[in-house]
Amino acid sequence: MDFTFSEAEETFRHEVHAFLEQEWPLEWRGGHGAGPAYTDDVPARELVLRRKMGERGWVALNLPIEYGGGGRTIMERLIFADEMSAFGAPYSNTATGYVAPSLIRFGTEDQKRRFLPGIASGEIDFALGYTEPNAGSDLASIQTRAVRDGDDFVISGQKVYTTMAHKARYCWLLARTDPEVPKHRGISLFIVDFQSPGVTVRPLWTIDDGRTNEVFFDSVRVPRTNLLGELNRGWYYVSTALDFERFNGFPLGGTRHLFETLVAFARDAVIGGRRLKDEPWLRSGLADIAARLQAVTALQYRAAWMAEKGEVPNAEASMLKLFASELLQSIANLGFRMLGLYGGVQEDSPWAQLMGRLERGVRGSLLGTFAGGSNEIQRNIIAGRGLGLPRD
Amino acid sequence: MNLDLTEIQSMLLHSARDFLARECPPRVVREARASVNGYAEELWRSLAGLGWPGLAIEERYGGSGLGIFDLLLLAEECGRVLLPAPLISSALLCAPAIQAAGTETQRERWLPALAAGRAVAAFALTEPSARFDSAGVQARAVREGDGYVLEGVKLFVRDGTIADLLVVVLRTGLAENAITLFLIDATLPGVTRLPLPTIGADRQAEVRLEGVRVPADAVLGPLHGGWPIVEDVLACGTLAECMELAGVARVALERTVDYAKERVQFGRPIGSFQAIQHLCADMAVAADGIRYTTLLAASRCCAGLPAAREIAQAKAYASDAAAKVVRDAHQIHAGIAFIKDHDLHLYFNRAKAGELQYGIAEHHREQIAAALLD
Repeated sequence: MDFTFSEAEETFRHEVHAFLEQEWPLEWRGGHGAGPAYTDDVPARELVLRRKMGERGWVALNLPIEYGGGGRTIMERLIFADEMSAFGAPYSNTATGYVAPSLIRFGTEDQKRRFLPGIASGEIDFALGYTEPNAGSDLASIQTRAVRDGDDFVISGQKVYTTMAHKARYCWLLARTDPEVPKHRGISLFIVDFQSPGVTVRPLWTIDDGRTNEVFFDSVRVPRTNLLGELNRGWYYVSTALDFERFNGFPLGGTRHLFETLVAFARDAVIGGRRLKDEPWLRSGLADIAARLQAVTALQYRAAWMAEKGEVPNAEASMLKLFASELLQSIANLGFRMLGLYGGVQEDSPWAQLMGRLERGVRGSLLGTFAGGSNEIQRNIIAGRGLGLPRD
Repeated sequence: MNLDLTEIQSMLLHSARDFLARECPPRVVREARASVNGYAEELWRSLAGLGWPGLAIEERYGGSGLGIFDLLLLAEECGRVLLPAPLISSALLCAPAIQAAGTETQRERWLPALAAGRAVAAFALTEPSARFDSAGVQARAVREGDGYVLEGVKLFVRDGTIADLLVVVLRTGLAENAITLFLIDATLPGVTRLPLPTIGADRQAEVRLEGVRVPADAVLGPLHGGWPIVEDVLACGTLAECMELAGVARVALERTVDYAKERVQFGRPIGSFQAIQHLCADMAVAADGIRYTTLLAASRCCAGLPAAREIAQAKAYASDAAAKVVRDAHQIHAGIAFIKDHDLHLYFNRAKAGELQYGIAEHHREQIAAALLD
């Protein structure tokens, strides 16, 4: 049994690392607890990075080469996500992890031709149009409606927390196409151009100085050639799409980097005449994090190994997301307390420590335990699919 | 990255699981506890027949010629059934040390007997000081004539009462690490062994050494240079303990899930309530976490890479996680498992014993902190 990466894989990691050192400057990185506050130039600089990645075949690592992808292995994809995460570089796998594999599996040749090259080159990106004000964990309750009208579907409704909407060209939209049948059976997936008439994107400002969006669809015409697969099979496609990237559900690079940052700080820091590293609570706290980090890393490798063998890690991926998100919260909070009063000083102050990012990081740390499949749902999945416990 | 078992490992574990499920049900565990020697003698003979005591011993000494890692995998199966037998003491703690550090004479004298299960060995390190470092070793060996005289008390020695051979860690000089290992026939005059009743029913012993005379060739490994051997034994022992805890946690989880599906309250199985489901989900994460973090550390250690921090991280995690699993298992079982007839408390007791063995989580966290910060 071997839990290490091969020499070739380590070489790939070094390549990615060197690229990001060069292309993603410190001010934009997130390893000290959080990235910078959102500013209007964010989409532009993310596009620049994505295009450069596209030139190297690093956008669609998971896709076969004949579709413009990088044809990379599971382990290489894991490593790539890890490095992107460590640098706080934008790693949205909607286009590459959900859309593109779905198009390959269920899309028409026309759809593949229209979208796959742009996805692979980094030129176009997708936002996930799932969640609605009344449909979060209960995704099947979505109400955005798509009605057939001639060669088009007319879509009306609202999506929320559509974080990529102001940065992406297209929306991967889940809409109701049959309100008469049980809710899971009347949903379809569409590709919607954000520039279509009737689409309004409005920012929602988050408590960690970031941006997400609400998106309004007011009788938006979408050609029927933008329907994925069969009508009313959307739930099946969504469930299948979730399987493609399960092992990569919560890259650990950022978590690990934050931990290492705290350790480095603790090693040298003297605050108020006291060496931080002598504090028993901090020694114990950091050690506990280290132990949990090893455990979650081992579980991540387990999930990746399953994917490498062509299995789909289900409960195993839920375990990973659950463990990793709670761990990150613990690390952010330990770091915040480690800094004492300095922990609350915001980044613009000359008194801020560690770029003042832990202050933002601790606010942002709330996100991971409910986003991307709330941890309560993850526990339900582990209990139900993993342990076979009966439904509530 | 390769997380598959080899074919040999797969066969070994499959047959081990089947064998132990048949031959080591809870009845055998309870009977062993109640017996004079505290272990299942007939079962031990069967294990010897399967070659388990000699798994990591070379074939030329009658062993199977496999490795420590294979024994560690087996340890999880042993944990699943709370194996009441001196397998880990003999096969993992003692035999490899003799094989690695012993003279040819010592190897030939002890390894074939250990491999066949004819002799049982126990590793005697800890003392009333209850420490795992060299400073905790006060029992001493004093040079006299051609041999040594041994004096002192060892405590918490697993399988100390049933051992034929004791691998004893003794102080032979004033410097902190002036430590030497000795191979001691447990029946020598001056050696007294008294059972130490413990929560885990793990056959711990008090071993008194009073004027025990041994020849010079009882020394195992270099004179004053025994501590590196002890560190290797501690590393393997800690990993084995973690793997056993992985098995303990896994079965506690399995029993709990089964119970939650059966037990009906408010007109439905309690396993359909989210409160129960969420506890079980966390137990599942813990059980998998213990196994995989230990395998990660073990694969490093067995590949000859420095693994002290990884092992400490595994034990710190496993200690706490296993304790929580058995606690939650009892919480879900409630009254029924608080009655002695129910087997769950055997797993609780074992997990609690494991919390302490080779150092509590807090001890390992201090080791980790020192590695990170100092």
